Amino acid sequence: MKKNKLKLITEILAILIICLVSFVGVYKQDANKMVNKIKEYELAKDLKGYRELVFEVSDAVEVKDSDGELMGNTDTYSDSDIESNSLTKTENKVNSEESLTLENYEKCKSIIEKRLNYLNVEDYNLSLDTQNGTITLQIPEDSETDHTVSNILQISKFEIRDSEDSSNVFITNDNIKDISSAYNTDQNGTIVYLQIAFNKEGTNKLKELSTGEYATKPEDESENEENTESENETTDENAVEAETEMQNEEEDSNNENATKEDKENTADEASTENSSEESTDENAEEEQKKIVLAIDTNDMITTSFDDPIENGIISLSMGRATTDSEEISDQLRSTSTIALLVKSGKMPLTYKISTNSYINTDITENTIQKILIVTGVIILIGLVIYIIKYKLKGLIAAIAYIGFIALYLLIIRYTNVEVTMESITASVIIFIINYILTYSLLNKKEDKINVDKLKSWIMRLLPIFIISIVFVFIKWTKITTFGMNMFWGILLSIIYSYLLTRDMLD
Amino acid sequence: MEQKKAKILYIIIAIVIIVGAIVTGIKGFNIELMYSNRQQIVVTNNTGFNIEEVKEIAKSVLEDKKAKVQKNEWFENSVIISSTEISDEEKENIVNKINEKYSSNILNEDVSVISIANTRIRDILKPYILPGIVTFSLVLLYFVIVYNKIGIKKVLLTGILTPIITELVFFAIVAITRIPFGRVTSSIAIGLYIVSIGVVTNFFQNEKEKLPKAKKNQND
Repeated sequence: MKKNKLKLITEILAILIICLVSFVGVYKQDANKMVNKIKEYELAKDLKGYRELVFEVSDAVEVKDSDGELMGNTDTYSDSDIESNSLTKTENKVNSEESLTLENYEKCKSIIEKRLNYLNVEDYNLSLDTQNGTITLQIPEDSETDHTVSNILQISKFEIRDSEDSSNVFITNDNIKDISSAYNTDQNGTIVYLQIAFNKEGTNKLKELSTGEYATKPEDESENEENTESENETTDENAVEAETEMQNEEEDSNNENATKEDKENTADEASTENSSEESTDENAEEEQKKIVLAIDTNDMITTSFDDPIENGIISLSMGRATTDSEEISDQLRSTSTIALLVKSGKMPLTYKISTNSYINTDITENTIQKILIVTGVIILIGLVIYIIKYKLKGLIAAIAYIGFIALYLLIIRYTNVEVTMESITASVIIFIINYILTYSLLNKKEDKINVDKLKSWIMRLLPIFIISIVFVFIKWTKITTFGMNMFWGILLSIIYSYLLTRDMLD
Repeated sequence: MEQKKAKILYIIIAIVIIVGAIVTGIKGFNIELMYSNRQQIVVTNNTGFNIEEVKEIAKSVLEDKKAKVQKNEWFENSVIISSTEISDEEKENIVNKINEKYSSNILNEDVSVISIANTRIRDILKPYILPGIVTFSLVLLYFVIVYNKIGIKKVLLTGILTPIITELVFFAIVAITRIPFGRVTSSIAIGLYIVSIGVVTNFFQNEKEKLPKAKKNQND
């Protein structure tokens, strides 16, 4: 009996400590102030704030250089930039009057939505003004926000075109089946690649290009020399250090998801790495077509093909081999971004950002406090019911219940679950579930809670546990956080009730 | 007696759903300002604002219109006032009252009204549809496997109808009472879905646990 009392007192003391840690915190002196060492709650967009962006259809005109090459538009070049760089404004609007249609507005919205998903933005609010195409986007503010904002409006026009005649476009976005980033590591370091797989039409065009069937006329000797020098010249202006390397890959129709091993093979077979030497081969050079691979106004590479590309897959190295992990990570990030932008499709219209600001949530601390007070009062009433109905056992159950809430809130913080309206709802459901479980322990007719009782609890909670697990894997913050809260809550509720609450009440 | 009570309950549920559908058809939902067509102005000064005071000003000028005031940017010297519509006169009144309150010199011309389009309800609900279908199918499958002894027809009918009717009643109440449809309602809807599944499971489990007893009684 004494042993049981001692055990109960120990359990109550343990609960008290958990409550102190969870509700009050653990304070340590840091410089001149006391700092709570317990992890803070992570608030999501609805409870913290968000970035609001307003995208307007651009009315800019094209800007060209002295050679007539398209450089950008008046949204990206100010008048002083145009003057200082000897550029000229044209009459051509980036968005023609005919292109300003509802269909194009909807398409742009859909592409932006795709990009948000590819960029792993898991909570956003997107709206379209069907009258003028203005798009409003609200996204969470985090370390990735600026990266998202800077890429979301790219046109992503992919072209493989004649190096001498930019109007002669061979391959466009429509010919791409898949585009992804990949990497290969050898003794020199890691090289990051942009791997492009073309569809049937694109594959045929690429084959024709690489076998010289697209070549219109052999170039003369002097031009050959010039071109030989410029072979593999990187003309990227967008900080993509594309060391030109077009590879004729292994004939593998399934290599969209090429393994690292595959890529090692393809790297070994890189055929044009020494192309400046090889290109002196006169006969071959005469048949080779020099092409430019460009994304938007950035010419990523200028190259030619040594061998026919028959499988419709090309890999472009996006930088030098390096062992610097930070550089590799940067290269992978920029390559992945290029891949996902092209993959999401070409924007039919050019947009500009007219508003870009951080907005605090309208759900104030005051509102949250009110919600907490109401929840607290309801819980308190519930616990008073325990005490009135079951006296001492009710009091013990109430203490155990408060301990459960404290432990649950600690777990939520340390498992990095963001607090959303949905996660608050999930927490309320968990509090109800634990209340019912504790009540069933208080109300038990048998002396001991047996395995059958535990099995019955599990059976009753299994469907919502299954739902919680599915929700955890959904890439939408509101659903994920709901699932996470439910998952941890159900798990903790069963374990806590069976091991601690039951033990305290026995 | 119990059957009579159940009948009354079903009739009430049916009426609520029908009335809700009619209200939704005629007036639609009362969409939360964050998701509806709105206009907003950004007011900035050097000294900063008290958000509650600006709320009072906005309320006094915009009167019965839906309005909200939020801090803009990281610093506290800028606020966004949003409402269903902000006329030039209202904008000028707000600017004047803020100037009066904070002795600032904000020019009416420097404050422009930005129009923001509404978010479609289907866009708000879209992220919930696939998880809803997947989990609902999984749970129904679970019900059929675990509780088939109760009777598959009963399991399927109760399993399918309870969550659907719960959601319909909830959205009907939202439409009838004109509670703003938005962040809070969507989180309650997801919560009700879980609760309804929990209640149905509990009901099935009780029925299942009664089964051997019933058989035993029959044998006796």
